[in-house]
Amino acid sequence: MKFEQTGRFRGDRAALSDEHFADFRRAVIDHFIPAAARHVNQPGSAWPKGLRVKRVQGAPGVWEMTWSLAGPDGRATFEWIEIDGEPAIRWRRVGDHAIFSDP
Amino acid sequence: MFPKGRQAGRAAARCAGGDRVAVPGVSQERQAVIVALAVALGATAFVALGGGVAAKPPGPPTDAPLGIVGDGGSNELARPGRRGARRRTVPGELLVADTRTGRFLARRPFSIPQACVRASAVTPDGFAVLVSGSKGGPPRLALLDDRSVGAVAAPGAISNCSTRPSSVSHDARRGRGRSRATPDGRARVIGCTDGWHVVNGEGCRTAARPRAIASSRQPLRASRVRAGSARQQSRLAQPRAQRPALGPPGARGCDGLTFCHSVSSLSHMGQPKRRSQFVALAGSRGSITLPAEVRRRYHLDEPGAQVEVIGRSDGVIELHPVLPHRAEQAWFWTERWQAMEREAEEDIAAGRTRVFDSAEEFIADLDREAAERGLR
Repeated sequence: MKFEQTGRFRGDRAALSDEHFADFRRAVIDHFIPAAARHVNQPGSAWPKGLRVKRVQGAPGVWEMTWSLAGPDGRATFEWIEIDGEPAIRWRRVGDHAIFSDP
Repeated sequence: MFPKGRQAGRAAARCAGGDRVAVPGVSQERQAVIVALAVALGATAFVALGGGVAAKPPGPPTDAPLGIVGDGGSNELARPGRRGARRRTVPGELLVADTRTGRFLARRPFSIPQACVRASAVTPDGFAVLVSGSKGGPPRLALLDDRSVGAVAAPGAISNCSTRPSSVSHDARRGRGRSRATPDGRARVIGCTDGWHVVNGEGCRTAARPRAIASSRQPLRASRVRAGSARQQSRLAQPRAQRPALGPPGARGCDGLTFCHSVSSLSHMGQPKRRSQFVALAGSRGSITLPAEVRRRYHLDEPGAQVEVIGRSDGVIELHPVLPHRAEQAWFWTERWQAMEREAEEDIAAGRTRVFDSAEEFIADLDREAAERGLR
């Protein structure tokens, strides 16, 4: 399964604190990627509840996932695309609690 | 449409009394001149929304208060009392002019995206101008004063604001819209019959809790509380010292901007706790009443809030709060995250992306970054 990331997503990753990056990495490697692969093979299969993966209402094509539930919310957005005819995931943005504290 | 006569006189009297005069884009010295004219003539100045140059000199002195005129196109609305005082306008600028002399005073950029001003009025406190209405889009409400006009000028700054134009114009006609500065001075709160609206540089949103402006100058009166809000009515009926606190824990003491715009509206985020409560079905229609805490937590007490009901095959009935967007996804619709998404779109359009040919490759990239950070 292929992945793609935007330049901004790469910058977001770098901007995460070590703790948040570790949480994000753990959520992606341990839960998200296996679930995404399962989703490709068995469309309609459930996502892990803890990730709270769902479509963003009002934003066609955009999905959200939560990678941190214990502390400040950590969110990431992605979309399903096709690369070379294969379903793939494009990471759009990832952020943490800072998005809520600086209006 | 504008407060006239007596209200204009009140505004002028307030100005003469030393209160701050909010004429966007006009220096204090100029405002002082306007106020002097207002006191002398029972009129102040008016502000022309739209831009461009006055098409013709205005008519003789009018009793128009501080106001706005023009709609960026039709020139049919927000007349300050006399046809002769109209201005030809073009979108994108705010004109400030003296109604008596027609003298152009200042010009400020301003925009209400795709908006056509359908109602406008000066708040009775003379501090701000309300603008409402739209053309083909959702209704919008803007508040222009000396603090927010520059911020509102940012494109899309008020795109989040939505209210019923009828209620605003209703208030505007009666001059009942009130505005107050939040304690930190960074936002303004407008009271209308359909609720409280908070405007700041980030945009505008509805504040369902009058407590958000509790420390402003004027106390709330029961007559001003939204009709049908039994909870607020009963609360106000109690002695002030015995009233229960409104808003989320910790809301007190934080500044108005934070409370109104961010913390309270997103306070449910990161709270995965669940509370089980039983509610009874009422009547033959099967109505249920959601607990007040739940309504408050998910902002179902805000105008336009709905609940999406999903009956699952496993016997579970899901209730999803919809604001019009799902409350649980409110973070996505914040100005900041929307800007982030726009940047992502720019990256995609410009090809600033990196492809990983396999999950392992992506994981390796994550591992490499973890190693650089010294993480296991």
